[in-house]
Amino acid sequence: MVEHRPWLTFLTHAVLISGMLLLVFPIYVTFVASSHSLDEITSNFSLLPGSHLVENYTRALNVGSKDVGATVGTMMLNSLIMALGITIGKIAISLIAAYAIVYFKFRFRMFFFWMIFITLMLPVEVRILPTYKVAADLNILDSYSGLIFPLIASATATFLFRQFFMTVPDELCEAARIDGSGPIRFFFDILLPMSRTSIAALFVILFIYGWNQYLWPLLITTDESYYTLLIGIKRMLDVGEGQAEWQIIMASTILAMIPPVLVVIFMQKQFVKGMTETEK
Amino acid sequence: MVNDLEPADRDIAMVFQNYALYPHMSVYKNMAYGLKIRRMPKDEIEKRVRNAAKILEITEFLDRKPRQLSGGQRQRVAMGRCIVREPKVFLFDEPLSNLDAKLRVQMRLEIRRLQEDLKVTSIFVTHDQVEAMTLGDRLIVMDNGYAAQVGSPLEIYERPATRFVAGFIGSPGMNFLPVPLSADGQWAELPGENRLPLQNGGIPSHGGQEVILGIRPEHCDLAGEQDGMMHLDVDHVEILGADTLVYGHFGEDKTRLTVRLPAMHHFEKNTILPLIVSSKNVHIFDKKSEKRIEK
Repeated sequence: MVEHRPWLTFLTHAVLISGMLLLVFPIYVTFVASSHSLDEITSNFSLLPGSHLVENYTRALNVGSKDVGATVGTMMLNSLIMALGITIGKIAISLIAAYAIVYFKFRFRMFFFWMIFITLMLPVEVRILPTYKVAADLNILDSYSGLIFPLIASATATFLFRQFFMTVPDELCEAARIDGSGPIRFFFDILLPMSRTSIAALFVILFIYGWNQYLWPLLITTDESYYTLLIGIKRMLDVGEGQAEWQIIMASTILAMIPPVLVVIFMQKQFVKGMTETEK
Repeated sequence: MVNDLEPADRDIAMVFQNYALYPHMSVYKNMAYGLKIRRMPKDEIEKRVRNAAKILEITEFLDRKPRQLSGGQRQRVAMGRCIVREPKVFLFDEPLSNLDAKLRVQMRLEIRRLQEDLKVTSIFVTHDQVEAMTLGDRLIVMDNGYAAQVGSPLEIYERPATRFVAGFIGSPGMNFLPVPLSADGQWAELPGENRLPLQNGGIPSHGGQEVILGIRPEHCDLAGEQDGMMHLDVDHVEILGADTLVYGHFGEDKTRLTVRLPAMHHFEKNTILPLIVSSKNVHIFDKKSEKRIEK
C-alpha cells in the first residue's frame, strides 16, 4: 500500500482477522472435540482442549471406530494410494495426450482435441453408471486399480498442458531437431523440464481432487480393507440408533486434513509460480 | 536430395531469430546438447564447448541460464551451439534483427570475422541491405519466393537485374522515372525537355517506347546553371553530416527525385538545383516486365 492511514490499516486488519477466525473456528472445534472423551463431548462440551488427545488419536490410527472394521491408518494409506495414483496417472496421461495434439500432425487431430475438450463438461457423476458397469465387468471392484483408473483421464489437465505447449516457440522444437533429438528425447529433455512448474501446480490441484473423492470410492468398495478415509468417516457416522463416537470421528477428520495441507505447504512456491509465471 | 534427410542428418546448424535457446539448461548444456545426443565422448564435448566459448568470449557465462544473459550474449550462445557441431553449413535466420543498432553493427563484424576464421559455408537471411552487402560473398535477392538475382554484392549494386533488386539495394532507394526513348533509341527524353544520351549506341530495340530510367541518389551531381539536365525544386533536406539528402521534384508532371550530395548543404525549400547525371550510371528497365534492358 502506498497510502499510510492508520484507520485504513486497522480496518483491513480487522476484516482479515475476522475472516480468518470465521474460517478457523470450525477446525478449532473439531480439534478440541478430538481431544475430549465421548462423555465430555456429549454432556458438557468445553471449548478448551481436553486431556484425551493422545489416547483418541492412537485409537483412531490403530483400532478405528467400532462397526467400521478398518483402522484410520489403513484408510489413510488407501486414500493416499488413490490420490497419488490419480494425480500421477492424470499428469502422465495428460502430458502425453497434449504432446500428441500439439506436436504431431495426424488425421482428425482437431476432432480428437474437441472430443477431449467436450468431456470437460461431463462430471464424473454423469457417467458413473456405465463406468461402474465397465469396472464390474473388468473385475476391478474392491481394488486399487478400480479406485484409480476410472478417474485417471483428465480433460482439464490435457487442456492446460496443451495451452502451455502452444506457448513454447516452434523454433525450440526445430532447434532440437537440428541438434538431433527425436520426439521422445525432445519430450523428456526439453518439454518436460520446461513444464515443471505447471506440473507442480497441477499436482497440488489434482492431489486434493483425488484425496477428496467420495462418490466413486463409495460405489465400488464393499471390502473394508479398501475403504478410503472419507468413506470411513461417513461410515463412522452411520450408527443408526447407537451413539456415534465423536471423539474418533473428529480425530479422523483432523487426520484427513493433514496430507492435503502438507502438499500445499511444500509445493506452495512451485504452485504459485505455475499459476502466474510463463517460463522464460 | 537434402529434403529426404532428417534435419539431424543434414550436417547443418542454425541460428534462429529468437535464438531458440533451451531456457532450462545452462549455457554449457545448451551448447553441449547436440553433441551429447550424438554420443560424443564427454572430454571431447568439454573441449569443443570450452573452445567455442573462448572464441565467442562467453566462457564466464557457461554456468548461467539463458534468461540471465543480454541479447548480444544470447546471440553468441546461439552461435556457439552451432560452432561446436562443426557442421558443413551454417544457417542464420535474421540473427541480428532482435539487437539494438549499435550491437548489430558489432555482431555483424564478429559474424564476418568468425565466418572467415572457421571457413564454413554460411547462409544468412536478412532484411537489412547493409548486412547483405557487408557479409555476403554472394547475394541472392528473393522476390516473392523467386530468386530475382544471384551475384556478388557489387555486381548486384552495379547491374541490378530487375527493378525490384534495383530498388532494394541501396539507401535511399533508387529513383525510377518513366521516360520515352527517342525513335532511334539513342536518347532518353527527361522530364523538363532535356535529353540524356545513352551509352554504347543506345537501345535501338526499344526506340520510341517508354522505359523506366533508374538513377541512384548518389549518382546525381550539382552542375552549373547551363549544364543542368534536371532542375530540381527542393522540398525537403536531410543533413546527415557526411552527406546531405535532398528530396524534390522537377518537370511539368512534378517527377519526384531523391539526391544524395557529399558534404553538408543548407538549401532552402523551393531552391532550384541544376543536376547532372552521368549516362554510365543510369539503369534502364522494361516498363512491362521490369527486367533490365541490356544494350
